[in-house]
Amino acid sequence: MITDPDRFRQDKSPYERPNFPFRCGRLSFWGKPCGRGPSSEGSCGGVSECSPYFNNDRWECRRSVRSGGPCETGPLPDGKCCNQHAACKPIPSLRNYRARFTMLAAALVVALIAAFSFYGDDARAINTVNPGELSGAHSKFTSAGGCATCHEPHDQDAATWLKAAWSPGTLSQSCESCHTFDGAATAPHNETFKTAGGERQTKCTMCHTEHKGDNTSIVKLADQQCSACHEKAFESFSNGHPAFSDTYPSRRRTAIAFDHTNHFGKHFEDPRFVDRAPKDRCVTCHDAGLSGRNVPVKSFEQTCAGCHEDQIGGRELVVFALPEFEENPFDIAAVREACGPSVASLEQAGEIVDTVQERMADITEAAALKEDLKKLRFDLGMGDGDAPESDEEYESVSLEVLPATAIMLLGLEDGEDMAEYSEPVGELVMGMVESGGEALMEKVDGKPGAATLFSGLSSDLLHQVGCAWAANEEYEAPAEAVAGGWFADALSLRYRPVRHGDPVAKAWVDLAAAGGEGVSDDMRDTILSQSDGPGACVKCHSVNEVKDKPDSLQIAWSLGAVSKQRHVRYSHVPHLNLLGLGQACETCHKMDENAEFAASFKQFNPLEFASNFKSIDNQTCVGCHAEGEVRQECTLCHEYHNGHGFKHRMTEAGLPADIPSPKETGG
Amino acid sequence: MAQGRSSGAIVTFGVLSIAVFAAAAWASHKAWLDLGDPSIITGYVLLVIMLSLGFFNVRKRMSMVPLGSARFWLAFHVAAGLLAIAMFWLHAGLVWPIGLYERVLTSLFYLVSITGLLGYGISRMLPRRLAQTEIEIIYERIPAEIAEIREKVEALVFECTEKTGSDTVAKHYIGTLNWFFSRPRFWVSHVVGGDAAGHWLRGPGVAARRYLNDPEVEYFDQVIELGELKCLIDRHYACQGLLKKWLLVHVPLSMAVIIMAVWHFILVNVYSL
Repeated sequence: MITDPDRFRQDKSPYERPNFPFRCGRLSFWGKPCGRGPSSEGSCGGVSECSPYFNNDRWECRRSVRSGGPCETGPLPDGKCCNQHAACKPIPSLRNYRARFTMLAAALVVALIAAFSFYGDDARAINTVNPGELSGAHSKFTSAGGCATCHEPHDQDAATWLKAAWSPGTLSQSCESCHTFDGAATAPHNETFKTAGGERQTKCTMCHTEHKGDNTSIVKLADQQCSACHEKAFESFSNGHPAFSDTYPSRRRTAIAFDHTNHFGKHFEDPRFVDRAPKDRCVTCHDAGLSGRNVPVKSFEQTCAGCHEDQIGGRELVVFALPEFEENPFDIAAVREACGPSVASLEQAGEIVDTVQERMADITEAAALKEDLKKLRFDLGMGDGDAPESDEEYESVSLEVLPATAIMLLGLEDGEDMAEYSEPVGELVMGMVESGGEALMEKVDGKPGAATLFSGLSSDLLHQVGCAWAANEEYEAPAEAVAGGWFADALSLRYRPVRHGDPVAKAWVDLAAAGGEGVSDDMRDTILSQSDGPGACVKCHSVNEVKDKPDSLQIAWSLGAVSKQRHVRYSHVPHLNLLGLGQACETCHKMDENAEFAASFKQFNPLEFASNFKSIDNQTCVGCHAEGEVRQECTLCHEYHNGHGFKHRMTEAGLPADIPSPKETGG
Repeated sequence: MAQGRSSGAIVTFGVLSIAVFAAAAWASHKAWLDLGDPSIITGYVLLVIMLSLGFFNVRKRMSMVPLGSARFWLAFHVAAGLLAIAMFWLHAGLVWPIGLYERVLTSLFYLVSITGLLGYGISRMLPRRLAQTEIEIIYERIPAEIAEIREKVEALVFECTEKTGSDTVAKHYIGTLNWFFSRPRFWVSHVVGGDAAGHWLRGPGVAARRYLNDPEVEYFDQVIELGELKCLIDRHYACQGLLKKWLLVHVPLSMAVIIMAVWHFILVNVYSL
């Protein structure tokens, strides 16, 4: 029901138009609006009740019917309406207010955007461009470079800026300004895979999201996302993860051939050594304090030395031995000049003096006497020129053969042909006489470890030894060699390792293992022999073949080789903290008493091995890492990147000036 | 009948909105699984929804163009508005974002959403209450209606004074009733569905009745009857006013949100994608 429908007929009341911008101001005082209403500009239209019409020389009232029709008084003589009212102040309609508020809101927002769009260039700047605080690490070193450290500024002109909205971004390329990888940054796992997945190009922003706050991780990778490339999808580690390899976690044999089974089951049970058995089991030899992916083995002195140190010094290497000669290969005059009279020659000189005295009684032997005096002068080191001729047949003081190392040094094919080795041996010994160690250093020049092979060898020793041998005499050492190092006995030059890890012994073992020119099988067998000589090193240190060098071998000197499985990560620390030390290690690492551990070290392929321990299978880990228990997401054990590093040192002072911006690098 | 068609349209658009949301959620999840950026999909969908929501206001201005009925558009606006809220959370991933600009945008979006929900709520509730008044009146004519009632009341008071020779009714009108008839009163009570105006009329309003003689009572009762009519008109004024004035908040905020969303869209494309 309308209060009074008849009252709102078109001839009784004005037609309401809510879409008009203004309404009669009388409404604001809750009065009746005038019949004419305000203009569209907002001025009062009701000052007069009508606009008189000039018709037949008369002004006629034109007041509308709804306002009461023509008035009795009629228009004034000048044509104005006789019913004049004070002007009202029209009020805006609701629609008008809404439009005004909407425009005001729009203008305000646009103004604020314009004012704060690029206000400040800091990562913490208050502007509309900054979508949020950076993570702690990134915010520190981008404070100097601002947003342009990572983002292309597009600041040439407005058109360029707007055009960038439809251009591919370069954000991921900016990451490479600081971050480095062992492979291409845009390759999956920074690797070049042969499978189809390797063709996919990746972006840093696929997994890393910035501007999420100071304490927020920028890496949020769920297990399901790994299936974006990995075709074999599975629910979780505890449910469907591919089985570990049959030898996990070992991928190759250990560097040291330490037979855990043999030691724990045999040696440490032996009453003679039981007091040396490790009291704390594994951590007696493995340093849990340095544990990470591996638990490194303590030093030799802290572990093996307790039983095996005495076995180091007893190994000698015969580097050179004076061989047997048919004829004297040495220039006696030169030797005498360089060495002076030897003991033997002085004894001979005494004998000649006796002979001269006898012959002086019979002067008729003048010629023979003259010859004796010449010999006498020579023996006393006073003679010039060639040695006097001797009727005595040359008899070599040595009956030895050349050792394999000497054959290598002299570059001989074999050491049995006297005619072949006499001259080079003679030259070498004369070199020892005249220049000491230089003669030997020349022989190993260019070989691996050349600088170390004769390290510590005294030139005086070589001179004395050379003089003795050149004089066809045995060298008489002033005292018996007890300590390690270089020494000579009657007819040979030898080296005895001073301690474990002796560099000279290692250099000779490395040289023999590496092979190459001059290194014969005989030399390699001699040096690498486990029974005697320095080759005892390889009783514990494994000997491995070298990739792409079929004739070369390599000694594994280093302990605790770190696994190079690039995309697998593991830390013993939380496990040791949880399980405790000692026997807790054996929760996962169970010894395999049936493994042919030692046998695998008799050949050189490190990948053919039998571990001392049983392989660890998934179920060992699933015992804890399972649904509802300990974490088991992919990234807990798998590292996505390959060899992640930084180009520059990160400092709180900001990005170093020499870091090129993405724009400079064309990124 | 019209109410039934309106509900049907809302249900239809509601189902469509759920379908759109499910499709967008599925696509964004698939993009996420494929190491893509799921917020690109949800962002574009949200922007389209926002613009289509804003088109509701444009459609009102283009009533001459046959773009569908108002009922159809209202149903679409309600369903799309709810969809926008859900899509916003799907897009942002957070109820409250990190960046200052995003926080301002989110605040405005929430305000728009809240005013929209409140507006829809009152548009469902108040018309029923107005129907209970059993009168119809155009909002813009309410001031004139009140003025006319006031004139009638004052005429009755004059006549009563002249005919009865007593000014009791006139004094009561000047001292009490004039306040009530001068303009709409009891706005809050009418909006929340109270009857404060009726109570006032039956209390202070008729307090002078006991002191009137029979002829005066006859005039006074006519005045009170007009007062009861004004109560109904006041209720229309309050409820219709609220039905119109909530848009004074909702529409400007919507404009601000759309502008900020477009700027956000541009920035993301320039610097991030």
